[in-house]
Amino acid sequence: MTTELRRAFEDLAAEAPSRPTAWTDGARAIAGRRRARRRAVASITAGTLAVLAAVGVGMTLPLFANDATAPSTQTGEAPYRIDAPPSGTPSVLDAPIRRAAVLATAGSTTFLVDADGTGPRTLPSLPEADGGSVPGASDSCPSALSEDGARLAWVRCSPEAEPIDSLFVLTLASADVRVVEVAGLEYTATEAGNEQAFSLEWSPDGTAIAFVGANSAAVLELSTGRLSPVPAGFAFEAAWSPDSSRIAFYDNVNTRPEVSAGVFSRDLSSREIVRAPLPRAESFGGWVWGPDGDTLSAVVAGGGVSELLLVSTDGGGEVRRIALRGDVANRGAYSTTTKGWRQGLAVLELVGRSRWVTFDPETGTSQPLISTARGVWINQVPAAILGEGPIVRAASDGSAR
Amino acid sequence: MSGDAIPFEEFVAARGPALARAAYLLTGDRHLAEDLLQSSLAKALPRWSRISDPMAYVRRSMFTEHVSWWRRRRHVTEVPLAEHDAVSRDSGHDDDTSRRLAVRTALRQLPPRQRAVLVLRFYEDLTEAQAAEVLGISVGTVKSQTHDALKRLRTVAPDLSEHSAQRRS
Repeated sequence: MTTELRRAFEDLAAEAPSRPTAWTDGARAIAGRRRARRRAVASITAGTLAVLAAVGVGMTLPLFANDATAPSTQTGEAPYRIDAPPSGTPSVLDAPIRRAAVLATAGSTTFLVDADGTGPRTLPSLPEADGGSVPGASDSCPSALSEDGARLAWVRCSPEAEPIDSLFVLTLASADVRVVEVAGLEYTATEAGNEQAFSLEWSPDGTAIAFVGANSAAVLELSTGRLSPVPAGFAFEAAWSPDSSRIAFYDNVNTRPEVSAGVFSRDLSSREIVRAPLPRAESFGGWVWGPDGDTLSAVVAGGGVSELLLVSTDGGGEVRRIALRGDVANRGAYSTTTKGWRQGLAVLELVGRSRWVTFDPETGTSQPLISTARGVWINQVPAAILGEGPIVRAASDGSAR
Repeated sequence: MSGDAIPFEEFVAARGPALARAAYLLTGDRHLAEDLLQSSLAKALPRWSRISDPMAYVRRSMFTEHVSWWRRRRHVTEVPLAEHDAVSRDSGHDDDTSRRLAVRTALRQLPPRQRAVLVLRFYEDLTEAQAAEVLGISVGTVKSQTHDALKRLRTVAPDLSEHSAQRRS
């Protein structure tokens, strides 16, 4: 087979583009943008040091704050901003919080940001008896916040590709860890050979969690620990309906010129297929369920055009396409993905540009929502927190750090 | 070859097409391949005069960036139209076309690291140790990823095995 593979690679490679002059120009342009960004970060770092000095003499400053309390932000635009947690940041076990607004990563550190404005928390090193690995540790799969931000779930991703036998749920307010014994299906998070392909998706009502891998998926009922398989061909990503009665999985094997999803009933016993035809080469940025309960949305891009797709979940084929222009469009190495909805506006992540924005489908305009420091990646803003109200409230007394 | 010895433009003109072919095999999409290549070239550009082996540097950057792109953009997957057009034309192919389509469809279903390992081992013809160095992983991981990828290819692209059998017979 390897001989055949070599021949096929040779054949396929012959279709590759060959535009050295354009690549030279493109590389120089990208390098220039990166240089400008580094300069901006350097100047911001100086400002941050000044702020830290101020904190050192007695001022208190939330790391992540809303408009009312925010320090001047790095961009001066987004009302919310996330920085890497400073050294000495307490663990969430030592300083419990009610809800986390953000699950994020800075370098190798995974951390939470308190939705009540008291700042960041690191994730603890839990004793083996209390749940084994640390959520952010290398032998642990990515963790996930419940949609209200009150609980954090994770599983161990065994490098030996052993089936998942337990799911761990940390209640942030009480620091209790619940261990859910998984039964009914042998599911291996590393089955694709890459644990980064695995994710957990909480149902909005907090009673179930979808296991989503590159090539397979399953749904775990937390009350019973029963893990049920999703039919083959639907995997890679999942989106729950707001009422937790349905769940959509990316159609992983469809090779027609369209993006599609299987919308399943909660018990996985029935499904509708929703499709959005694509008229040209596209990249696809993940399905998100709209707050109306009847629409799936996603960003697609190709041929220099980026669009937000709104697809009816009834399988009727109705598709609305809204052009994304300017900063929110895919550009070069940068892409745009849907992250959720907030007060009737789509929330888009401008990947590689350290920003989340809200996008108004009616007017085609966008507003900055969250910015991140260089090297900080937002893994999740829980849907309920993203959806309404302040993402991070002002700290009531500023002493909680 | 030192970055001092060859100007950036000349390097791109001479070696860019080879890198682009690898990028295309990695991404399965012409636009993404060019994005990936340009991004890696841009990474090398500021330190060009200090890079002792530009080809190795850019290649390593490209392969590792491909994997990390995918990690960061977990929800992004390419759906190239050419592939769809091709797959929908399911009759009248010669053997080469069929094989090409089978490989392209199958590669799409591999995780990026497995795809990267296959491209390094069976297109770039690197040894396991060399592939491990490019990807910054252990030789054991290269072996296991290669094994897993080939096993998966046999499952999702049985045509490949059939072609092999036909050629042998």
